Amino acid sequence: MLNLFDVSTIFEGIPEILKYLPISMEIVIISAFFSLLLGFGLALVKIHNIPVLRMMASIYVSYMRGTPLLVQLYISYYGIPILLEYVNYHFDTDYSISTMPKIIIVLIAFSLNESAYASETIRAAIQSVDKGQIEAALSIGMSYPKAFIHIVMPEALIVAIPSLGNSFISLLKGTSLAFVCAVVEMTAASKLIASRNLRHFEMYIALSIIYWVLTFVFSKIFIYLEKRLKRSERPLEEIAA
Amino acid sequence: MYYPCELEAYLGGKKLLEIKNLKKSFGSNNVLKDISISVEKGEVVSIIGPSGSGKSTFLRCINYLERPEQGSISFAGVNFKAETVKKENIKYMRENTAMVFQQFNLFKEKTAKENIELGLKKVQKKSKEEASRIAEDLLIKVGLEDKRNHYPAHLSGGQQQRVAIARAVSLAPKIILFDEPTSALDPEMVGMVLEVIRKFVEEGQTMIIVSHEMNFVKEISDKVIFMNDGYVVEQGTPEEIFELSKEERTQQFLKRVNNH
Ligand SMILES: Nc1ncnc2c1ncn2[C@@H]1O[C@H](COP(=O)(O)OP(=O)(O)O)[C@@H](O)[C@H]1O
Ligand SMILES: [Mg+2]
Repeated sequence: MLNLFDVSTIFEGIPEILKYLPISMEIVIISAFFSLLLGFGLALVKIHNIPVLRMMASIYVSYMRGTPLLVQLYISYYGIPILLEYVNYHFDTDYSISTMPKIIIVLIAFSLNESAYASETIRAAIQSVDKGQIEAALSIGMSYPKAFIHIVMPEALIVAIPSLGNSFISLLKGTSLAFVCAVVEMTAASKLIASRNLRHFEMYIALSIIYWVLTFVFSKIFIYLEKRLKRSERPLEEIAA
Repeated sequence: MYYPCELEAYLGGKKLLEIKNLKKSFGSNNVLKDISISVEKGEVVSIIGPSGSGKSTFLRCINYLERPEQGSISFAGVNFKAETVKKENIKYMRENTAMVFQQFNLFKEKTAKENIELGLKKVQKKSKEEASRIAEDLLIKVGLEDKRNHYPAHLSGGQQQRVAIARAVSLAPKIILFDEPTSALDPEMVGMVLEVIRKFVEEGQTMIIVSHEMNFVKEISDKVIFMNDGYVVEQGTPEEIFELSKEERTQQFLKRVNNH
């Protein structure tokens, strides 16, 4: 019998690849965190129409969304060392380029890329909150920041969650590009394993199953989160309890 | 008690709120051309007038949801001019007034009770227990104690407006501003909401009410102001406005309203 396809190596491959899951998750979670912070800042700049910053934010978002992530990764990979050299030269610092973990380059590239998408989601979500509620909050003497925290944020979060969830999942899939920066996450690990056992097809099948399960699990988590946050649509008995 | 009583001491018969020569425009649209009014403590002042005459804008200038460009405001011992208003003046106006909106504007991700408690906790820094006690008392007063855990989406318009009134009253404002509180309601809900307003009038709450419910205005008001095209055309007791009006524009407006 021909031995072109060996199912059992798929199952042997999965735990091997999963050893690199923490690296992939580290990239996703840290980049998601920083992209939210930066995206929130960008959203505020746009909402409050801050003159010069607003235009810079628009150009930034347009560039980040208008160029491939892979290309952005290459730019970071080659650009960040150059930037560091300049910094070392002008500020008399001594940042080492060779010892800097490559994952930092990946984290920077992903955070910057994701923040562009997050900023649009966050801006739309904040602006979706009905102005009447903000006026009601101001009219009872709340300061604008307080009204923002207690009224706008919780409602905007509900609106933003599905879209932020989708971004999170794209980011998760996007981590498979990190190998171009010489970071060994799940995809790079599969490649390495395959080059040893020469079961390329099986290893990529195994890898795809892992991504598929992960995205499935995370999409369920985001649906659950949205439901949890939307208190006003829960059945009464649950609220009273 | 959480109603304004500390005022008595320094008011001594003076006006609670006095606004002089207030002006406000949106771009080239001069909406408020010259408005002066005064309100005494415990008084109910109603503002009537055709739509577009600037009634809402005027109420919103009082708590600075809109910024008037000119005019002087004197409120419970604090005086300032719109031209040189400071942040603390705006804060003072907002903390000592409350507003009831035509569209209710309840916080939609908060229950009826939480809507009332929010300002008590976050603005007045009351304890959880005290906020809860005040909210429960008010829910009973507006007849919604069994709806305490309902979200606005699960309340009728009339119920939402009663919660909004409770939210306004809870903070013991020196004045409550009502902007057409029953205009967005189905006719069968109007009575209950007016009933609730009447209840707080009886407790001595000072109010400015913009309303098209002429019978209610006639019955409840100490003073009625007729506004038209950014001016106060005429003001007086309900009798002076509704029966003995001297101004033709007032008479025309009332005739039109009565024909409906
Ligand atoms: N935010 C705003 N921007 C521009 N124009 C406004 C705004 N609010 C009100 N106006 C204008 O001011 C005028 C008075 O409106 P309003 O105060 O709502 O009158 P009323 O409450 O008596 O019906 C109208 O011509 C309206 O179009
Ligand atoms: Mg109006």
